[in-house]
Amino acid sequence: MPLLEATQQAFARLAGGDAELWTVVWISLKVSLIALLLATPFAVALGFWIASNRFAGRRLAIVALQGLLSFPTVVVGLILYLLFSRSGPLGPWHLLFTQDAMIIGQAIIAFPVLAAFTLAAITGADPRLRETAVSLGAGPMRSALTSLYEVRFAVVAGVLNGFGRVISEVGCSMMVGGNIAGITRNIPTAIALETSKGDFAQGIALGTVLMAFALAVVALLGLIQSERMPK
Amino acid sequence: MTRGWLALACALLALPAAADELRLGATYTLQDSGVLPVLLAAFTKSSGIAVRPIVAGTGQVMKYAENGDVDIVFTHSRRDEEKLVARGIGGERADVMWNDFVIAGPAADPARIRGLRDAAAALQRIRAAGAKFVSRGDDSGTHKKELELWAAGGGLARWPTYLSSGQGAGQTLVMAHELDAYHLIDRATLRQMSRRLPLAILVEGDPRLLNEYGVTTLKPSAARAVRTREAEAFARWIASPAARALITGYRVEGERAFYLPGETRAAR
Repeated sequence: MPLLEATQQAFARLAGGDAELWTVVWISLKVSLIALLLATPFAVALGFWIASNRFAGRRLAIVALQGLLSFPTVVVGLILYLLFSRSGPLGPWHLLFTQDAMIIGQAIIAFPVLAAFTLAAITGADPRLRETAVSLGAGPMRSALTSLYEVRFAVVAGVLNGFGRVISEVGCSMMVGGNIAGITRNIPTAIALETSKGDFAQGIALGTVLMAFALAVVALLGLIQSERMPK
Repeated sequence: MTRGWLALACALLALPAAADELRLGATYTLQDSGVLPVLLAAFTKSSGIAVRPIVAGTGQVMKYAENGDVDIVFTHSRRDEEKLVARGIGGERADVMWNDFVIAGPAADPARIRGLRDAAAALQRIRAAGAKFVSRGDDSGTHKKELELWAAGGGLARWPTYLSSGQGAGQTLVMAHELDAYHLIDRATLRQMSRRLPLAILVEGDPRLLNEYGVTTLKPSAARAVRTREAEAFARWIASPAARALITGYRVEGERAFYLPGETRAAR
């Protein structure tokens, strides 16, 4: 059984600072963090806007947003692929098989998570807060920021959930990134490749790093929740 | 009651490995050139043995063989196949058919390799020009051939646009097409996808570009339960006149794709 042996090798590589392995980890982190950085302001703004405005089709917008939470990432990949392909409408931008394409894909995948968390948080917040802010003379921007500050923990929880979704996402990254070594090979696509090459040790090592990230996110979420308790 | 559940569990466990199903480890190029489904359908029809093709790069197929995940392998790296036999994992290896690799690339040919006979020199010229090159990078038969050619030309010094896709023949070809990059590929797979992906053949005819396919049976051991009977039936069938007629008759876009051992290219 190669499992035990491969696990031993995996930890040796993690400890030994295997350059190829840490490049993959770095690409994963970089792409996912930039994607979140891009998506967060827009997603939070949209979530806030839907929560605090009454308009025709609002219900539909909320259902659509919740539906997008479970939108298959491979379909995002497929659509982007067709857009970015040299025969596609955005072909001249030369985005296919680049980190930029992966960042765009992950930003799209994270977007509904961030927006839905913000929407739920603002909807659940005390409406008197905003009314008070307005009565004290705050403009729309100022009162929005006050509301968002009040639900900041829920928004951060949304960001962490979004991070959890994109850091482990394989379908879209594989399709629009192409899993090119040293450029678009991130942790999930590398694990898929190493397993298909039979290099289980590298797969286990990368899987361990990925699980460490997941644990860190869970720990952060727990910390935020306990911080919130006394309030 | 308990016995009933046990029987059911056993039946379920046995399902994925039906008694006479042959697990055949085959390379991407066999699949992507389209010849594999044709051969397997004919074999199943004549023998009644169902085949489950497990498609991967040659390097990985060798690992599958070692781990007992396949019963027989159909690959294109003679050195690895002979090593498998020498290590006592493989039983017997036999030549099945051959074709050749070509260097394909953008019609504009920025590295000016068109018409070169020496494939190793052509690769070095692509490197010297700093042009884009997409490598399989997956330890497959094609990747091994590419590395052989780099070694023959003085080695592979990686440059920023040497891209390692880590994927199968068809997917890597798609990537080369999208990026307008040079690429080493077998002629049958290139032709199979030529209508959708017009990459020009720039270098061909170097004897080192020979691409030989062989079938290697596997020996059973304590660690590996191999369906020897079915595997031997396949090895016998692939050498039979019926299989040979399928190989010589197989056309991709109207052209012969594979040749029998001993046959020369002139036969086309």
